[in-house]
Amino acid sequence: MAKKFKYSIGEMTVRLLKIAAPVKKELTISTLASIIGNLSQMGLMGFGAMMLLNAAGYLNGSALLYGGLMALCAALIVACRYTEGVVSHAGAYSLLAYMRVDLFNVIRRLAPACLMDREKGDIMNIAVSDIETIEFFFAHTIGPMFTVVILPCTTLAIAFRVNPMFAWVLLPIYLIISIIFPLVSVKLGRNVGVDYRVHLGKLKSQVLESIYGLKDIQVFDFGQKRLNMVLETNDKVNRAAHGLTLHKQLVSSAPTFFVYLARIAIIAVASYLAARGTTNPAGTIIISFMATASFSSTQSLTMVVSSLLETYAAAERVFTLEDTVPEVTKPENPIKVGKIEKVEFRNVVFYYTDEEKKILDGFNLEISGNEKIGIVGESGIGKSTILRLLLHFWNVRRGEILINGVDIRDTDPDEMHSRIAVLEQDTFLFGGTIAQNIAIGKPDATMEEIVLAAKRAGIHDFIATLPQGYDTEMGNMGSRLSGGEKQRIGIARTMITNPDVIVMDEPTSSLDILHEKELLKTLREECSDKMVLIVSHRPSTLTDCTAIVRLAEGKGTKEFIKP
Amino acid sequence: MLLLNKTLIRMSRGLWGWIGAIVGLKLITLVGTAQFAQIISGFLGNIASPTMTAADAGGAVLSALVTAAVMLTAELLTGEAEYRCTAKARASLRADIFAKALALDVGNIEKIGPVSAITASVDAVESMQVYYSKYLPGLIYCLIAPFYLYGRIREYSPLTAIILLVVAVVIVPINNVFRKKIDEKKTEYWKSLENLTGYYLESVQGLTTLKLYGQDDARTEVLSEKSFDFNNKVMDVMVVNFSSFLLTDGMIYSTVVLAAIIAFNQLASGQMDFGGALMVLLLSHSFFSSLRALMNATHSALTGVAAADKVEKLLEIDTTRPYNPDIPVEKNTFNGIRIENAVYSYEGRSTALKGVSLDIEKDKVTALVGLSGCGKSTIAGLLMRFFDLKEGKITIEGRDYTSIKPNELRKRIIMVPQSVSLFSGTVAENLRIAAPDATDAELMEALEDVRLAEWVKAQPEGLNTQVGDAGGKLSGGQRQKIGIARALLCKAEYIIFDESTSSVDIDSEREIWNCINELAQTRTLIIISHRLSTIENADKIYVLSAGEIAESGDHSQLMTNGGLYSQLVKEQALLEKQGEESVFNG
Repeated sequence: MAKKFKYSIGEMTVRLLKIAAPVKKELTISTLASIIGNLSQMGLMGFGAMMLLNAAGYLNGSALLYGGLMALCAALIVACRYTEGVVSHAGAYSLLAYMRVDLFNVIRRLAPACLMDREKGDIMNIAVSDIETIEFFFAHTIGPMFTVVILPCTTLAIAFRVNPMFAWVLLPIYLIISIIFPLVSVKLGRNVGVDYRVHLGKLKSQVLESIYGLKDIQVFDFGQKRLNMVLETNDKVNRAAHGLTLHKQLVSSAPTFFVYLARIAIIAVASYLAARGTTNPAGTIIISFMATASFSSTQSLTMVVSSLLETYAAAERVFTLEDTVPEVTKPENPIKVGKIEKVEFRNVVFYYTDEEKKILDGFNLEISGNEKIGIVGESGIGKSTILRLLLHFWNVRRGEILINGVDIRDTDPDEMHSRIAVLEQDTFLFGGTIAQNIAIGKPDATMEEIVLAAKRAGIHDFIATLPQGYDTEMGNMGSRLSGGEKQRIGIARTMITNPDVIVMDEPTSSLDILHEKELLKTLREECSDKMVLIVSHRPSTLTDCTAIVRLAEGKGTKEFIKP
Repeated sequence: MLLLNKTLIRMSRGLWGWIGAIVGLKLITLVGTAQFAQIISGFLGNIASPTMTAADAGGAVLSALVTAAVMLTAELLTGEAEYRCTAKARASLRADIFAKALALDVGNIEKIGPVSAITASVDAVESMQVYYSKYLPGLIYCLIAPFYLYGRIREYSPLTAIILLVVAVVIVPINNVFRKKIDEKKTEYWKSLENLTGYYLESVQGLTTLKLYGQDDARTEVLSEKSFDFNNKVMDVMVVNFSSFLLTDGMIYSTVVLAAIIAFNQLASGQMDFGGALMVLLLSHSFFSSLRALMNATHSALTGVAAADKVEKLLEIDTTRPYNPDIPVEKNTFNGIRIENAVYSYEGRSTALKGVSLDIEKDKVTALVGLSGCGKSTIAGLLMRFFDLKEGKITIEGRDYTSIKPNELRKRIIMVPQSVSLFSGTVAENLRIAAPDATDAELMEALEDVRLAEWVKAQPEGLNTQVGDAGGKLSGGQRQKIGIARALLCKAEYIIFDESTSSVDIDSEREIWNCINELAQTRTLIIISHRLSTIENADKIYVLSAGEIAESGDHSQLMTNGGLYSQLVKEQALLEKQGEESVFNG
């Protein structure tokens, strides 16, 4: 099982138990209920048998007492099952809620650098379904772990008292069912659980992608093929599920078989003893009935095992994500830089993962005060990368970026975010109203501020034509808006905060000429005191720039424009 | 609990064979269990009897072993049958649901939301199949098993047998008192789950924006609230669920105790022998195992039922499009596409098109220009038949749009949207969406045309370079270039370019336009652009303003008109000149 798995079962169990610490109380209560309930199962059958033995004259004592104890056991079974169910789930689900929030915090730390390649559907699958699966560990595993020890021990003790021989034949069967079987099936089945989860995650990404790309699918009548692709992935899910079901069936049926073997062993021993002349009908019958009941809990453990596999597979995916080293970490003692006056790129070397594919190779740039910089170059050459480095999505591989002379790695990310406003290439719209979307950088903005920002971005007139105006809900995909409209909402976002630096990635790619003019006017009039960096392939957009940086072969040349 | 769901039963076609097989195998196991109980209790009942010989004991052990082996086999086969059933359910449900999702138009998607589409075709299907592989077989089995066991016990104690039977039969319907409550809670549970999933997805997708605006903290708080709300909803369901377990267990165990007491009395009064009494005790316990299994399956099946309701909502969306194949082909047809008095409005927005008429002549280049929001892209959508006109009509070479199936139409007309969607897979796979039979050389040629060939060649994997989830590994410009190359490869006669080059760099853009202009020799092009320089050479230019055609003609005509067009051209030229000066002469 060498390196295929990142974490061993032991490691994961310890880690899960640590997560469970806050609900210790609930888990203790539910475990106790589980133990009492299972012991009562044994009691129910044992006392029932004793009552009948008493009637048949094999056993002395009060039938009423045996009957009463049997009824008590029945009541305990029912009560404990309820208690165990409710309390363990209450504990488990509250843990899941914490885990989901924690996971989001992990993703936050990783974003955006480490998430570029991750499929979003997959991440969501981890956050929702995988974590849901872990419920099984908290709610259904801990109790059985105790009963699997306590019940067999109780039965063996009683068996030993009746006749040691019973204990000796039961012991190996208990060992097989309670220890060897679960362990072996966990080891054998790990792959199966992982595969199933992985393929399901893929399926989700595939569906998500199809829904977002629905237009292109319809244009090229690609639906049938896409459907086939989804069904192909579905086949993989099925194959993984096949393994899972067979495994599940095996781990539940095989122990049942052993339970039957145990019961046969008891009668075999009894007949052997009878042949030897030592008959103890009462003892034999009680053992037979109690052993049968004792196995019900050990059987539940083997049932747990098969579901536990899915749980471990899910946990592994959660932990892997949690343990990903973030590209950028917040410095321990961040330095406040104050109003941004100067930005310097010094001999910056940058590549994403492959050192051979350098995007920037000895890039230098110095920007100060209210300079307006335009960055030009071919698509994919690294224009946006420069902006992303300035926004500290990534660390430079060599060289340094200084903000007011402070290395960007030592700055306070929160301060930087408040001082630098960004217009991304694709404006992402959130559910909520247009007003909320504009005010994302300043949630407490007044309506006046929002309207002003919208006017500066040239989107106010459009919003005014909507029946619900600024209160129009964006819907799930923001698909009600055209590219240009979205872009202008993005521009309005940058206008509402009062940053020192404005960074715009292709701000006019979807704007028509009048809106482009409007944007340029806004930048000229409202942002004259700010540092502005614009990536654009449209010369017209760069009209008001004071300098142009032309990017080629990983280096930039800064050319000043005569005023 | 009795859960009969219309949607689930309707979608169960082809599964009943396997469901029957599962029930059959379960019944074999049941007979085995009863047989085993009889052997054991027979043996234990006679254990003290002097008449029992070693041969009897040996026979008991042997027959018990055989019975156990038969049961093991039957149970293993049950697992296989359950798998077959789920596998079939997975494939057929997914095919139905996903096919429906693909037939939706943009408006529908907005209505149901992409998250619903995912939950319906992934999670819902996983929960629904439990209904087929566990619940339905369990339910049928529960209807048969008690009667069989009744027959076995009656021989020993008719009274016990009848009591057990009555309790077993009433438990299922009695549990339905919880049905309404649990349905209610489950609906809330699903709503909350979807809410959480949607919010989570949006947060992950928009995380960069959130971080840049320092809003990730606030977002986490809301996420936490939603997370705990979901937790509460789950618990609500659990409590109802366990309450129903409480009732069922209460009934079951009281009955077991009652059966034991009756056996005790009958044994004491000599109406039953000891072996019979033991058999009653053993079987009374097994009597309800089918019910307990059903109760557990009910828990999961309820999720399936709620999921099915969600799926039903998706499936019942009307995706039929007007289709009137009988509309005759017009005589003296116009050679090209003609739009007459088109009226269209999006839900919740003011009218996008207010009676637009225009002609797209075959083998010519037609351009649509105007400020954003004027209705250009709406016309493109109508031409592609992403949606249908509210009023007016469109004909292609004399044939009414509604007389052609959308997929037939789209063999003749395609479009390159403003932002192209790529799918995870290789560059080649993404290109072959448009031309499945294209050779690698043809793909490279198309990439050459959009100036992406150099880049592709530089990749170690070449054409087999992975583009990532939704093309995430490529830059916006590169994605767009692949989208344009895709259109170049396609053999459709009409091609719409809807602001297709707005996100590619200027040098590439020039070359792409050269290439598009070349394409004009062999295809009919419809070009939508707010960059007027790109459409100067169009044969016909329509200028739209607020959902109406403001003017039309070729470039020189429109320039002499002195209307909106000439005004826009002049402003743009000025701005671009200034820009060029700053960028190229700086």
